[in-house]
Amino acid sequence: MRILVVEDEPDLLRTIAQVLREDGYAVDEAADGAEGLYKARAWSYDAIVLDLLLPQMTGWELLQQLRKTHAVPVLILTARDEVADRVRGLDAGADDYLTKPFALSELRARLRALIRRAAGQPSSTILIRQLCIDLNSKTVTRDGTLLSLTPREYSLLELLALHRSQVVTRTQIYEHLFDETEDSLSNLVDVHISNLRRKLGADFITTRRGQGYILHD
Amino acid sequence: MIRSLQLRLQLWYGSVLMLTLLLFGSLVYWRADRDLHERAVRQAVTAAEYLAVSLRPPGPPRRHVDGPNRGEDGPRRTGMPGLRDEPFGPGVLAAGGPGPGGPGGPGGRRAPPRIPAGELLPGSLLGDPPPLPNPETNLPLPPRPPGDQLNYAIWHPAASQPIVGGPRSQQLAGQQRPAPGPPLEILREATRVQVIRRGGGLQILVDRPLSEDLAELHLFGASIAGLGLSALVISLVGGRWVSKRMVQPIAVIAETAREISAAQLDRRIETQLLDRELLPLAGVLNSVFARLEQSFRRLSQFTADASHELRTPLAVIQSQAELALLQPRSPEDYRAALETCLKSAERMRSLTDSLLLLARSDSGRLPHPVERIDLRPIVEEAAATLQDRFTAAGVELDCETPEQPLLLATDPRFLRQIPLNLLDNALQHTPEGGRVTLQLLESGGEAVLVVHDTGCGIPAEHLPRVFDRFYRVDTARSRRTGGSGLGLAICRSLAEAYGGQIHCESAPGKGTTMTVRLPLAQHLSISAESHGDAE
Repeated sequence: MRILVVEDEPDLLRTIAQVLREDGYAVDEAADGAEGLYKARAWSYDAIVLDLLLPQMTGWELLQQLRKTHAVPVLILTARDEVADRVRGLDAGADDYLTKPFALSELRARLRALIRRAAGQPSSTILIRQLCIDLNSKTVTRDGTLLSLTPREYSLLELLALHRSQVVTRTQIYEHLFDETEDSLSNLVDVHISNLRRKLGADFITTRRGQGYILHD
Repeated sequence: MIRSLQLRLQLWYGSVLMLTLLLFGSLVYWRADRDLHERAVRQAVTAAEYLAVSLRPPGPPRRHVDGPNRGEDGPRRTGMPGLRDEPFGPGVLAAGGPGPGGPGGPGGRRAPPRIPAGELLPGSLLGDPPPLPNPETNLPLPPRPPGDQLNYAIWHPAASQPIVGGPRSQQLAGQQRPAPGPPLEILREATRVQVIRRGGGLQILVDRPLSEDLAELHLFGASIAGLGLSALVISLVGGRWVSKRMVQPIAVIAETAREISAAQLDRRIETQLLDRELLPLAGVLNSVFARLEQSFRRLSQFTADASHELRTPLAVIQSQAELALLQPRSPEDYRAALETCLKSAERMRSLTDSLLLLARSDSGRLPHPVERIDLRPIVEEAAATLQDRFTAAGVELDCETPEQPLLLATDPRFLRQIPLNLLDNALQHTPEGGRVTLQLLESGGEAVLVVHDTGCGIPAEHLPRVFDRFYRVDTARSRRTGGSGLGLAICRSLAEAYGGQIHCESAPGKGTTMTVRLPLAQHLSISAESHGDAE
């Protein structure tokens, strides 16, 4: 899962990005509105964390521009806590609103919920045959036994599970698993897929040659 | 003191009206009273004359042309009472009906004494005065004088008792014979008028009681009073209605003013239909509301900004600490997290200090200066404090101070903020390789502090607002450099609190010049001492 954080306070940007990376997200950072809009348009994010009072372009303007073309979930994170500001933010196209100061755990939970809802997944656990994926604790069990996955492997599995019975292209996987700083080597995805197959069992993920991968229900 | 305008209006109005009515009523009453007395006097005089004339013995025609006064000629000659047929006056005679055949007025309640003419005055038609009749037996009875309320008493020189007549004549029966006096004497009393006619040896007293007339007068007075009172009541009721209508617009203004609360400060009093007299009031109130709205808006903007500025470092501290505690980390990570927290806490402390200083300055609670201090060491110290940061940023700092001390009556702790903030601000806006000059000089009784930088300058549209709180020309830059947006606001607030002013000149690409003028302390006598203290 890939998240864009648009925040002009450097310390806060760093902190949020770090905690989200530790959660296994691929995180891109933007320090002003213009950069944020550029990145939001250039990449396909699973969610965007947006501050409102940004240099060059305010969060509201960014949201208005973005909503013309993109439906990505947006969480507004701002120090402006007046009702009028919240209403304006939500009306401009935001999906959630969180005021500073905030608890990181709440931010993470809200982001999980946003991503889940965007994928049309009402529950926080996904059951695929004997496989159980807990989106909150980011753990996977098979017949009650905990599987040990790396964060990257978990993210890949979550991506396939949220789009189960659909073909997920290699481009999609690259876009959602790696942030802008990483060199996306093509065989990295193959390595992760083969590792997952080894840990889950061979019959879960099938390869559609030339198209991508699919997780069968 | 009555605190109701309407009531007071009505009271004044009522008082004036009452006074007018009272004056008018009194005038009418007094006039009626006088008329009544005059009429009574006239009646009594006429009656007395009538009696005098009717009792006078007939004389030569020329003699009685004179009327009542002719009796003065001599009591002896005119002493003979007699009956005269000649009319004395048309009205009187017609009413009184003199003569033996027709006595008694038309309104007489009691029949006047009826005495045949021949018996009354046997020799009255003779040319010469007849001998005086025996006063006891043969006194002439005069005819009933006109007027039904008249009583009379006639004293004959020979008789000891007067002849009386009239409805209440018995009251006169015991009356003393009037003392000698003028031929016609008029005595006015409250309830009666008496006329004494002397002449021809007779004293005629006509008594005109006024009780009935007075009763009528009192009735008249009462009706005037009643009329006046009802007029007063009607006008008071009408006046109440009118005054209520007059006061109504004030109530409307008050109601609108009451409705204008913090929630709807944008409302104004409707002046379209207002009376001319109330327009200034509404105008003043509306301008007050406008100012109130403006300052309220500024205040809520300031509160929102201050809250935003405080929440951001708070969010950093909270999230950084939460992140650090999320999982076991290396000592370096903890150290970095603590440093970030410390930096944010420091920022919050500086911000609250600034806010507190501004609040004090706004409310005029800056400490009163107790001594005069030299501005030079303060400025030099500020420059020295920031020298390291200037060096690190690659910006040159020049500091020029005059030879002689510049004494100000201010508090050094707060005054220090001005050069510090100005230099800090100049440093933030000057790129590497630039130059900041600080000049301190004396001009026209003021200490002038000029800070000039070769930085990016301020676009014209931002110039009017650079001293506003939390106003930033470039948000991104101040975020990185940690500016709160309060530095220049504090400079202005302090400069104004100490009786000075601050001014900004700038153009993009040409740098910025900030000028602060502070009034010098007037007495330079303790210069050396103060200088020493300050250093």
